[in-house]
This record gives sequence, C-alpha cells and structure tokens, in this order.
Amino acid sequence: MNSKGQILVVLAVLLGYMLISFASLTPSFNIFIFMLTPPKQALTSMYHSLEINAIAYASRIHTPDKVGFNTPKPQSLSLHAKSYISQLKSKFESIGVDQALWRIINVTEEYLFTFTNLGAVLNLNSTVSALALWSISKPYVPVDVNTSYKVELTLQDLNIEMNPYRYGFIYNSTVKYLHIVDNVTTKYPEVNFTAYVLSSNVWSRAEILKTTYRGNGVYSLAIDIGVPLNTRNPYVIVQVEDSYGVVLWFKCKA
Amino acid sequence: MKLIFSRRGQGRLVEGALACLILLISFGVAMYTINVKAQTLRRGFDLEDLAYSVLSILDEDGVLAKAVYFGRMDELRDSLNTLIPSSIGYRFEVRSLNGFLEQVLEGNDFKTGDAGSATYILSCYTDPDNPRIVVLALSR
Repeated sequence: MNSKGQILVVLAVLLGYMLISFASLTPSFNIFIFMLTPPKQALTSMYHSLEINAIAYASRIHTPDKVGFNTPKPQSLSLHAKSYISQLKSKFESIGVDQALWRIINVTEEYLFTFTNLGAVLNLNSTVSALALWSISKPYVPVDVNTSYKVELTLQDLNIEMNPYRYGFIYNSTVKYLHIVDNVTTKYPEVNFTAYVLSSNVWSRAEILKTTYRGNGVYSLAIDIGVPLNTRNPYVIVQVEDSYGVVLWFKCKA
Repeated sequence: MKLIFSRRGQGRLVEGALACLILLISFGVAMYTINVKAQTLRRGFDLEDLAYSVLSILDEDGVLAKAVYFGRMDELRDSLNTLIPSSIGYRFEVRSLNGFLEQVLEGNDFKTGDAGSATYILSCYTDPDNPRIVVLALSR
C-alpha cells in the first residue's frame, strides 16, 4: 500500500468516525431541544389556563355584591386581568426559577383582554363577553403561539308572568353560556345562577324557582321576583358563576 | 485495462476495497449505535409526550386547578387512572416555585428507572401570588 492509499484509509476511518459521532449526537441534540421546549399543545394549554384565570380574576373583582350593581368600566376590567399576569410574572422573577420554566410564563409581547357589556342593561340576543387574545412568537417563547379564549353569556329570551301560587311575578329568562377556545372548541362548564331584583330602590336576592338545562349551554330560569317597584318594567340581574371561577352578569328589563 | 493488471492498479483496487470495507464497518457500527440509542430515547419521548398530553387535558378541563388549589385530589386520581394506561406507572408532584414538594400522588406501581416526565406551570385566580409547578412522571 503506497502513501496515497494510506491517506485514503485514514480519510475513510475519519469519515467513519464522523458518521458515528453525527449519528450518535443527533438524538441527543433533539432531546436537548425538546427538554427546553414543551410541546405546543402543552404550551397552548398553559396560556389558555392563564387567560381564563386572568378573566376569572378580573370578573370576580366586579361581582355585583361588591360594586353595588354599578356597571364596571371595561378598561378597568382589562387592567385587572393584565395585573393578574403581572403578579404572576413578578412572582417568577422574585423567586428566580430556572430559565426553561421562566420562558413559559415570559409573556412580554402585547396581549389583549376585552370585556363587553358586563353589568350592562341588555336587550334580547345581546351578549356579555370576556375575550383574551394573545399572539406570542419567538424569541419570547420557543414556538409561535396564537391563542384566544372567549366567555359568552347571551340573553336569548325573557318574559314576565303572574305567579300562580302567590301574589307577585315570575320572570322567565333563557340564557346561553359557553366558552370558546381558539375560535374552534366550545366548552359548556358547570354554572351557578344568582338573581337579584330591584324593589324600593334596593337590590335584593330573588329566588330562582327552577333552572332547566336545554343543552348546548342554554338554560331556562324561572325567577320569583315578588312584587317589584315597577311591575311593568322591573329590573332584574342575572349572574352566572362557572366552574372556572368566571362571574358574568347583566341587568335586563322585562 | 492496463492499469488494472499493473501492480499499481492492483494496489489501488486493494486500497479501494479496504476503504469500502472500513466504510461498511463504520456504517454498521453507526447504524447499530443509532438503533440502540433511538429505541431508548423513543421510549422516553413517548412517555414525555403522554405526560404533557395528560397534563394539557387535565388543565383544560380544570381538574388540575381543582386538585391543587381546592384539594379535590380524588377527582385528579380518577382522571389520571382513566387517562394513563394501567401498564404505565405515574407520579404526580406539586411543587412551589422554590421547588418545595407540597403534594405527591403515585399510581400503577411507578418506578423511577425508565421514566419520562413533563413540567407544567399552574396558577389560579384565587391565589395569583402562589403559582405552582406540576410534574408528571411516567414509567414503564
């Protein structure tokens, strides 16, 4: 074997080693990236969770009991929702969790919270809604994430009738309540209803005689409003609290 | 043709054959290495993927928050037993941000050996100052 042949053999050995090294390194490289990057599904779920919690946090600050049934300003609700995220971020910063975890919560780009008609007087087919809309891309998160979370409460029907059992009135209303995730998935969480009626300029709790679930998030309520101040046009508040902690409410007139 | 039958040509042929042999052996070793490692890692990936999927589903359904922040661990145990095959052991850990272990739930004879895990951040509207780290480890 001459010197050229020897060089060829050495080159072949080197090439072989390079192949082995590359083949061995590739899966390790993948796992290194993977460990730092939760799958998109998990990342999106975490953001959905943050969104619904921020909505719940803001909506609970303005529950009717605390604000005397005044209509809250949408901007202040959005600020409360944003402050929820800020509190979380500052908590993470103060403790100094490791980089991979920090990247998950590191929401540095603009995110939007929009609250519509919470506490307002609604007409038929009007909707109270809370919307969280985030679009977070690299380098803030390892993969691009676009998420939206919407909570909707719609007044579908209402009428007032005489109470057949005692003097007073029954307020029948039909509402639809649902969560819409990423404009695709619809959820129907468990809900609790509370009703209030305005009589003698004081809001008082009204008894809900019957709640009927009609499917697809539609509920029919029979509310005993007694004898309101204005029997022709009583004001009623319908409040919904769902299993995610969100409280949405509106006022309506029969 | 002259080159093939000459000494120099035969030398080249031998060198070429040797080079091919070494390349083949290298490929063989490389393929063997890839196969062995890929199988080992694949099992890890599968478990990790499953762990992340389970945590995502539980969080989207609100089960995680109910268990961690409202103490409804029985619901969580039922959900884990439903979502994770009985042949796969699990260990569910709740930790504070500084890593302090607060709650543990184990099932299906969890073993620490061949395990894959997923780390998840959880928060709740009732306690924004106290987010938690949830770890779900799965083992075969």
